[in-house]
Amino acid sequence: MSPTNQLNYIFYLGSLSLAFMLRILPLPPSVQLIAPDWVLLVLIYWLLSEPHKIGIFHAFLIGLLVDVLTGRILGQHPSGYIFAAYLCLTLHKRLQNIRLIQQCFFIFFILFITQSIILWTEIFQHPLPYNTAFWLPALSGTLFWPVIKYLLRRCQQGFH
Amino acid sequence: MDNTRNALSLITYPLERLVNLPPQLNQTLTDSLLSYQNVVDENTRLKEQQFKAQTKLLKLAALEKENIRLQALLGNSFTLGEQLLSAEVLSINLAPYEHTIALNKGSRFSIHKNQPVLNINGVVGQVTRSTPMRSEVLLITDPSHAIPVQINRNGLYTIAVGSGQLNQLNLPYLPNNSDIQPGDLLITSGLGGTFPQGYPVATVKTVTSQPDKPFAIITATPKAQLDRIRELLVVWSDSTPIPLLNPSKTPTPQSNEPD
Repeated sequence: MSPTNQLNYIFYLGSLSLAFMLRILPLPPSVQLIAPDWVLLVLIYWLLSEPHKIGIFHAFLIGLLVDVLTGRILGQHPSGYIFAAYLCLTLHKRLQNIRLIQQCFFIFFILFITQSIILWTEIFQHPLPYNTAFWLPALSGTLFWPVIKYLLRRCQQGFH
Repeated sequence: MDNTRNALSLITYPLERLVNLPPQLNQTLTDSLLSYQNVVDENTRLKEQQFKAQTKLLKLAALEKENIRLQALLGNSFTLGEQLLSAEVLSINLAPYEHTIALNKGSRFSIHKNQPVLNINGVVGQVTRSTPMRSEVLLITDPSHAIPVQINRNGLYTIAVGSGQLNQLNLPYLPNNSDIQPGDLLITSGLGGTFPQGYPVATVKTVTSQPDKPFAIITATPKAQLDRIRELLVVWSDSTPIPLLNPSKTPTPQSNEPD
């Protein structure tokens, strides 16, 4: 592994750790409802920017860690994240060449489906009252996507 | 599966500690920067409290012995005496739709699933999972949680179900004509075996009877203020039953011999 790659790897782990911490940061309940899934957003960034190094296995492992972190049944987040990773890896060439606003639509689509899979696995365990607010993180995640992309891109360029 | 979780929790534990660091630091700073006068005041107050509590305990020992003796006479295997371990709440958020909290002690302190968790005001919840470094607690107000309770005034049994709001429990299984009124204290009934008998759970807030429906709408406020808990106690119920009196000496209902 060349020195630049190594630095990149550290940055990858660092950004993910930060996302993990944001995920479990205590927030007021109203903010908590709309807080996006930071881990998934950072994962999508890395899947799109380094599709040859970061793959579905990474998505699986990261999903497992989120499960442990938030006390879910093991496998709930991986099932969603693997699906997101698959979509990102198949679409990454297209996603890199379209405008940001179009990219946001794709991101919304991916976040929405992942969120639905997680909700679905949750409903398997115990009945949940139907709540439209469950999909708000997908919406807020889409709004945060340009910010995250810009920040991570700038930092990544700084590392090179 | 649990082993996988335990192994992975070793990776996530440092992250949790990092997130928990600012509130912990704040606590440490306020503790260490207290003025001398504050410390003296607090000390006096605590001494007074300790004095009162100690005096109440004097009576308790005698009552406990008496209770054990009476229970033995009745032939009940009544359990008394619980062990407590104090733990702190990690300021991390587990899931937005559930009332779960994480404690900073886990299976290393032999905390296990289904243990009741209390604080000084009342019942808080029960342990749902424990990993080496931390354990997860389901609060009594979670919509999927139900706790068997008893009205302290008249011993009426019922079940208190979580409402999804941190300051409210629902009692959906009491008929309209049941003897319950606002202000009644609900204590754990000990049925079901998870929660030991006799700990305060909630006070009844409103009682609304519905003449056209079989059950009344009753809400209660948890005694433990669940939105501002920090230090908690994890309980081990002593599982060995109290030894019954020697059967030959125990008077049976047939013999009219006075005791």
